[in-house]
Amino acid sequence: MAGVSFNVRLTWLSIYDRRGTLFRKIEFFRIFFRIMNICHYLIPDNIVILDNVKTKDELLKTLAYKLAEINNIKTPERLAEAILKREKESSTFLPTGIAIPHARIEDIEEITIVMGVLPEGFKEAPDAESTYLVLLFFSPTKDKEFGRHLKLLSKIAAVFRDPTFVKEIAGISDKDKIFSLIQHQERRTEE
Amino acid sequence: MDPLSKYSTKTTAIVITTAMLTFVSYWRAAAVVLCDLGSSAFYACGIAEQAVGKAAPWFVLAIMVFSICVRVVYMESCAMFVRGGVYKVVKNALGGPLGKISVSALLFDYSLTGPISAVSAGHYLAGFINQLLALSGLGEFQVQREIFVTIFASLIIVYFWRKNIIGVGESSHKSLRIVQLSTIMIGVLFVWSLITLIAVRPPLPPFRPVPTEEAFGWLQHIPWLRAVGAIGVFVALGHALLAMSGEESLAQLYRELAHPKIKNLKRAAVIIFLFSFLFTGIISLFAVMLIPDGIRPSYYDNLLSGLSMYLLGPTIPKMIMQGFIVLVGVLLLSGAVNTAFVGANGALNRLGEDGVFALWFRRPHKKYGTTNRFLTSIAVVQLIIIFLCRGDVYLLGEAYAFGVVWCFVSQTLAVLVLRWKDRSEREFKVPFNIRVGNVDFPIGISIVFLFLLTIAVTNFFTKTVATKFGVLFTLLVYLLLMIFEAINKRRSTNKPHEQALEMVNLEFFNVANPAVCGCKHEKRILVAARDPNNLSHLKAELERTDAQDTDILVMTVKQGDIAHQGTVENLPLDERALLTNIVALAEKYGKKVIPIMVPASDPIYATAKAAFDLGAKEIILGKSLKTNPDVQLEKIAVAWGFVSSADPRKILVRVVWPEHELKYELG
Repeated sequence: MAGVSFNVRLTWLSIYDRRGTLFRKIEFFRIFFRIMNICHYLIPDNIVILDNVKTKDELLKTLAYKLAEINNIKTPERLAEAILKREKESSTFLPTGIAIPHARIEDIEEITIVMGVLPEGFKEAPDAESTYLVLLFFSPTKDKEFGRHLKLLSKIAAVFRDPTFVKEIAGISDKDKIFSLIQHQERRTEE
Repeated sequence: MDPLSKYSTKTTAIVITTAMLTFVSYWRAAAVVLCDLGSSAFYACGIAEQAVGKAAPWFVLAIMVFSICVRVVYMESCAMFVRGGVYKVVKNALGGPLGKISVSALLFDYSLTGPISAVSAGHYLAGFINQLLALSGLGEFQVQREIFVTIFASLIIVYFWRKNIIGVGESSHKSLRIVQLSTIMIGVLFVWSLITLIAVRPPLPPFRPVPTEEAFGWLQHIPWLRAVGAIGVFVALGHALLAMSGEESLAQLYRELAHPKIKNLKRAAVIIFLFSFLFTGIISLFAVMLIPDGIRPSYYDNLLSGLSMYLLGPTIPKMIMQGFIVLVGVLLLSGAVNTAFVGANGALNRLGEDGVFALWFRRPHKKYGTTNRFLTSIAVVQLIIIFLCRGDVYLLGEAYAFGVVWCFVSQTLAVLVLRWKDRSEREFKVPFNIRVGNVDFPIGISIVFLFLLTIAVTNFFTKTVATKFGVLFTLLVYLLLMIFEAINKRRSTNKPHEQALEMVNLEFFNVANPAVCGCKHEKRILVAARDPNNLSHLKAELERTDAQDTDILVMTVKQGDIAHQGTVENLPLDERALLTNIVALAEKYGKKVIPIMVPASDPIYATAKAAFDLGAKEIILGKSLKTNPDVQLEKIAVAWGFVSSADPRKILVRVVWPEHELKYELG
């Protein structure tokens, strides 16, 4: 973790990478009260703008590989396989313009997330609603982590409940701005 | 267009209403039975004494003790059949025709119980009013008995018809009030009688019955039989048996008994025994001991009224006591009308579920969900009998009690036969069973059966009027039932199993909220149900949840068009089967559930939305046959996120299946 800097305040701890980009912001009271927060797991670097995605499998594989790359996971194919298997069981593409592909695997220690932005939209099926945001995440297989897995699913659904907001995000190319808007929306849903 | 429009953005709901989901306490169940059993305290000993002499109160006491044996037989049958009663039990053990014959005898008796009780109550009241008028110097103004009794009896019938239309909760409440008032009267009478007995020290009545010529009925022509002492004992017991009516109503009420059912049934049985032993048994004995032999015959129709006049003390308090006794008598006899309604309605319902009556006849009352057509038919029959007898109950009284005893005999035989036919574990068994190897020999039930059979056979030959009327009208009712069944089979397009499906009302609401769904408690849980054969999660929930402080809403998603106001016949068969099984489970556990049907295209989203709108604290899901429980939880988590985005709330979600449970808190 060379070059990593910390900024400790009364209520939160911010961790920056060597380029000074915010890596993680941990709000103490959220940890204390175990409040689930998307932005606890998502950082601007985990946001990927995707173009010309043809199929659902391609979209999911691309994001799974991206997540493996960001988090230095050596078995991206296992991630992709897990996501596709779960997706076959039940689609996670929702009518508000988002998809939440997810799986529980042994290869990771904590929840890891990546967000794909599809400015042009993607249709899972010809008659389906267009999907603009794909929040793909993995969580550990431990039973006690499943509660957090479920809470994150609820949180994502709540934050991206408004299709107008989803489309607004999809129209932005600046990852920091996307992150900031999501953070803002997340706070609004908690008020 | 809102992309979410494929989901319902507001929860519309069809709330299912039925009287079948009303449950009563053991106090109320005992009260309904006691109105019938207790009312016999006023006349049973008097009638028995006319037949077997001064030893009658011992036989009334013996019958009161024996009644607990019959009650335990009923308790075993209730443990096997929630919707029980003689028809169901006898049909399962001995076949449909015998079941119908037994219930025909019982229906005949129920048809007489109401009029006899109502007319007797009218007579008591008329006598009391006339006595009051005479005492106050207005002897020339006397109520015209025949007209007064007919009008009063009819009003009682109409009153309890209405109460039963509203539901057993309402009618049993009235019975409870009557029994509470009776208990005060019994307490005072018992203590006062005891003080008088200690002061006067009268001799005990003789134990040996002296049956009259008439009491031997057809047996009086066989002189050697009269010499057999045991015959006299059974003649006496047979005449005292009418003090034991009302047991069948307890079996019919078992369906409505609240949780814990068997425990509450035992409690009700003990209350019934204590009350009837003390009231009908001991007070009858006191009456025979304290009322002089020469005067007692004038009080045969109301021994208790006579007893009050022979207590120690000044005349005015004794007259006040007499007035109180008459008032309680009027109320108890009126309450017996309710017992007849409850019992007959239960028996007709069991016949209806078996396809004897047309579906339209079983359709529930739009507002109260009760089987109002059955209740109206019972009322009409009772009113006709009242108008035909014009206040004279002597013949009706003679004709009565055939059905009661034969109903007990067939019920006991059926429970005995079921010991072999159905060897599954029972929650309650009649005691005294000897186990040899793997076989239980039911000594207890066998003794009860033989005893009942002997009384019934003795009654058959000695109570000739009851036998003639009983056989004639049992066959007549049986014939009517067969005709109804044949007509229904010919006209109905329904298959036999469709007849057994629950008849309920559907009420459409634009918004589902706790008020329209009839929620009563702050704590609410929502159980999602879909497959009629996969309700183990509802079963687990009914075992776990205390319905006294929690509303259990059982929700099913209706895909496709929604019905507006109407009956369940508008719904597809599998949804009717689901509703039937939900009601059957709620009945089994004696816990109220609120079934609702939500029209939606996505069941998971609809479940989360309904839980949110109804303010539920928990969502209970059964294990899906298509996906694993983890995926079910993930889907509900997403749906909960959607519905609670504007108003974040916590909810506990549990996926329950046999011996497993997954539970997580969301939000």
